[in-house]
Amino acid sequence: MGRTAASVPNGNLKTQLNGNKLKSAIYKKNGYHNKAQRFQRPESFEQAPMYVAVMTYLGFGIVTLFGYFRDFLRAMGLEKCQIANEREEQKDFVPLYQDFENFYTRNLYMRVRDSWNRPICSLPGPVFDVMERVSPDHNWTFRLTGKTIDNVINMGSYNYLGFAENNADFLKTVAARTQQYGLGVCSTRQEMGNLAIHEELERLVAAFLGVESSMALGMGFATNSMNIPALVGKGCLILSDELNHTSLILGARLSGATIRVFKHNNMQSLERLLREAVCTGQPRTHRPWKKIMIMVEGIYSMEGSVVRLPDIVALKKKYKAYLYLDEAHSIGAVGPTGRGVTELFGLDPSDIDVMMGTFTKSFGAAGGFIAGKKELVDYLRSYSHSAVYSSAMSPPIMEQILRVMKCIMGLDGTTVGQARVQQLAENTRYFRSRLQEMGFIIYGNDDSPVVPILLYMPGKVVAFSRAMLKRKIGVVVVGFPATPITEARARFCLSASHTKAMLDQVLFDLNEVGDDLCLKFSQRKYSPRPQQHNNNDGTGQSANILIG
Amino acid sequence: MASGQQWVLVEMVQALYEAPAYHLVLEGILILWIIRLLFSKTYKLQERSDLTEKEKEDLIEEWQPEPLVPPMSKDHPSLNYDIVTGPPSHKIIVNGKECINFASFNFLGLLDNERVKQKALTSLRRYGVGTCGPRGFYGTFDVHLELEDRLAKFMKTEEAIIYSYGFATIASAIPAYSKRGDIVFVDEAACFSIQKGLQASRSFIKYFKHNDMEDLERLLKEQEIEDQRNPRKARVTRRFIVVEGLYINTADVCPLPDLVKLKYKYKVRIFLEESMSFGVLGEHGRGVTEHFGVNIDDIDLISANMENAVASIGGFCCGRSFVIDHQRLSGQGYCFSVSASVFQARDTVSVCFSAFVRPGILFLCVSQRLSGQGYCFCVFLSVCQARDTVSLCLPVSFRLGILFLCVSQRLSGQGYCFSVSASVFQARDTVSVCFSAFVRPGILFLCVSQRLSGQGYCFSVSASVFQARDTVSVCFSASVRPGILFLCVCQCLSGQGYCFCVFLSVCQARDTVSLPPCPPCWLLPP
Repeated sequence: MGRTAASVPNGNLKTQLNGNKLKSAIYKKNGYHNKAQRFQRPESFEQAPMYVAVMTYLGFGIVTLFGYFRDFLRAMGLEKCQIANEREEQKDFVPLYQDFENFYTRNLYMRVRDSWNRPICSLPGPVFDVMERVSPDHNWTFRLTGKTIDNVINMGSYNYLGFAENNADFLKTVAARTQQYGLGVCSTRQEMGNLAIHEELERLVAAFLGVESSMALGMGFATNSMNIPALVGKGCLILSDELNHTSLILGARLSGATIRVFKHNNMQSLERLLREAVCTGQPRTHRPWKKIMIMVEGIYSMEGSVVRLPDIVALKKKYKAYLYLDEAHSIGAVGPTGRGVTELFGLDPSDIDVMMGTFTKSFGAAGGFIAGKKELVDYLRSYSHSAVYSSAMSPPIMEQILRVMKCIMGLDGTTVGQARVQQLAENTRYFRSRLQEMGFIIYGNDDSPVVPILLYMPGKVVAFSRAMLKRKIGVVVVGFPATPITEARARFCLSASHTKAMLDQVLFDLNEVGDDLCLKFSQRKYSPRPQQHNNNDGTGQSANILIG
Repeated sequence: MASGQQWVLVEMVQALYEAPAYHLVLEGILILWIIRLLFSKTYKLQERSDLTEKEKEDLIEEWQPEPLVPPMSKDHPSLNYDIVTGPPSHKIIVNGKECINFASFNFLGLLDNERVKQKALTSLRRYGVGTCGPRGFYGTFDVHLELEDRLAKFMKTEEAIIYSYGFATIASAIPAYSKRGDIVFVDEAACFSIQKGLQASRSFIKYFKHNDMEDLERLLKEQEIEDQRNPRKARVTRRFIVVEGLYINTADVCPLPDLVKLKYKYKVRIFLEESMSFGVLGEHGRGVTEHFGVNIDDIDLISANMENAVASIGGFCCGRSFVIDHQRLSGQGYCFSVSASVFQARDTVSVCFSAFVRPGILFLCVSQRLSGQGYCFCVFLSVCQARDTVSLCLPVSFRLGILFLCVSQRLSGQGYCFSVSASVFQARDTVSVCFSAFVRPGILFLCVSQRLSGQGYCFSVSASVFQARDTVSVCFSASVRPGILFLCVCQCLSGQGYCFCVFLSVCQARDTVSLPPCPPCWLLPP
């Protein structure tokens, strides 16, 4: 039965192709000119002046030299080595780590590690309380003082729509669900863990995205790394953006398919690879590829750039490749009603073959989803590793997702969700334009709520993070292993729950810290624009009321 | 200098005069040949002809990829999951029918523990649901630190690290240590997440027979000989043994004391996955190490998920700081994933606490008689027990030589189904048995197991059962130890036929856990 059903569309396809080439011409054209397509908003990646690159390398050179010097002192026994040691009984085993692997951790990361893993002890909302830590031995160990730094403005959490909240009224349903179900499920979906609420969630996700079907899983990372191997395998080709998230890369590697990398958001590079792949086929045997899959993200979390989806969809149609879109950061955060990048560009969601996203960011919960055509999801349900072997999602978490999704869709009878989506867009535009005026180099798309400010030099990264915390602003800084070596940066994640007063405070402090640390590298001139933003705090306040 | 040069030149000219004519002709031809080669077009081994643009377009036009997913039949069993309504506690409503739950890994019955729920609600009011950030970027909450601290104390190790997803715990931990070129010795019955971790590590993997220490030692010896041959390589090749405490696929306990002996003999590190045994084995639920009284420091890394006995989500790894700290930067599931939901962490904190404080509690959940015709009984779990008694999270716990009979019958109009899924372990001289069976309404399920003369036995069935529409089809996957009689009879009540199948397999295939829908079975006429 299945066999015959499959052969029919194949037959149809062939006749279509043999029929005339005219059709395909229209096809192409359709891909390029979609009805209500929005233009890509400007996306900037300003080059830093030459001296900055030189100073950055110099900085790394100095710390590396000092690292070797300290290693030398440790070897001589002049400096106490504080790193945890192997057990006496196992000294003669093969060392667990190579010495050079730890060089970076021991000598560079240890000096600055107070900028990461800062523990907090409150809700990760627009403000949070950071627990104060002191280190008696230059960050080798930390001791919590028991004091907290209260009301630090949170610019680090992925709380795009402000749904990380603890308002008892909003969380009524979640609390009820906890009371009813407890916290876990203690079984897999295929066995006894398929609750009715799982099915409800999957139906709602599909309706939210405007696709046929969806599947929800317990962890965003695993959604990528465990499902990609079910879709592609040997003899398939994956074209992956160079800045894709580790989970996508891991999934691609586990799949056994050939991976080729194209330049970040560079359509020429992608098309060249596609053309070559289709024309020459697999290496050595020159057999045609079984499938070609393009893997991209909606918003790139370290660059703040938005994928050039209309171009990619056109290319995908022309070369008959499949498209895997990871909307981890973009779902809920962009698009006029929060439906992600497809809505931002006014594209039809059915053009995306595999749509993936997470619930951890905009939805303030945990887990991930895969959505698309019914056949796709059915197949994954039976063959994807994580669907078969891992525990089902926890009921209270699902309830939170349901609550948030209904709120965004307006199914709860309010416009709170829509107001938040709009507030986020407004905050994003305001924050980005002000930073540009101040002369910081920021990366990414004007629509993206992820705002990376380039810091470049390793010393400045830490100084910036510490200075901002002193001014009660929590920021995320990222350096070498996560970014190119010369492009260390601070990342700001905007939230709908940030009020205008908070953003102004952050901007004021940024301006001062930027001057103190000489962080304003931009050489562009921004003409002081007429103020488009409502200055009389009205919007901020109204948003505040809405969000409660 | 100049004169010397001249002398050479003169000699050359002289030689030219003296040379025979044929020699000159030959040299002349050779020189011409070289000149020709120099100016001729570059010679190609294979004539390359670039495709023209039109040809390329045609190729692109012609190429048809395979469909993204192969077509599936509509009645594939995994497309029609059983729907559970209501909480999966000891009673469970499957497809609208109330059943006794033998299927969930809720060993300690903590899923519907009121204290846990209250703790979770307190946390929910304070922290909300999500953490909205990975651990490095303000995703570390005080409760995470507290949980790690308590887990480390509970397990009596130096440090613990928590993950937000049970499946990802061991799958991230293995590749953090074992890289390309390293060697991992794995039990061939290892669970799926271990397999995924190994695949991600790209190490050299050697499987040994399930729980067969001789086979492992053989492999280790082979490796030792190999090392002597190439000592330079051996000095940088890390070696690991990866085993499960309680195998989810076979329900066997790993022989940990023997493994520790081998560890020191051959200088291999041991990674132990305790998802099934954590909270189940040992006097205080600390797992296999406590069960065997092995010093926990002898195990390099212990990983477990908190989705089974602890009835929450997430997982953790514990061990010495020297080992564990490395994951904070290298464990992919840790660095790149958003941290475990706080209120869940919170709930686990309280669970650990109660497990810590009150060892030796036995929960007896259900022992129920069903409308007069059949009995079904189960003891849902035991946290811990005295050392000399049988200890289990078992449907029924019994002593040596006890006949275990579980009969369930369909009553007219009031069907029930039960599924047992569990773990078994065997103390040295005691017997423990556990079943995993899933029986649909309309099936009589009889399972008899007998002790053979003088020998303890252990058998486990771990599987799922599928049922065709109106014939009986029950399939088991059982791993049966030598010398065990395993008899399984299933009977269809509607009188159409009998079906019985004994499906013995020592170990399951490497990457399958569950079974194909219905393996062939013998149909006997009534």
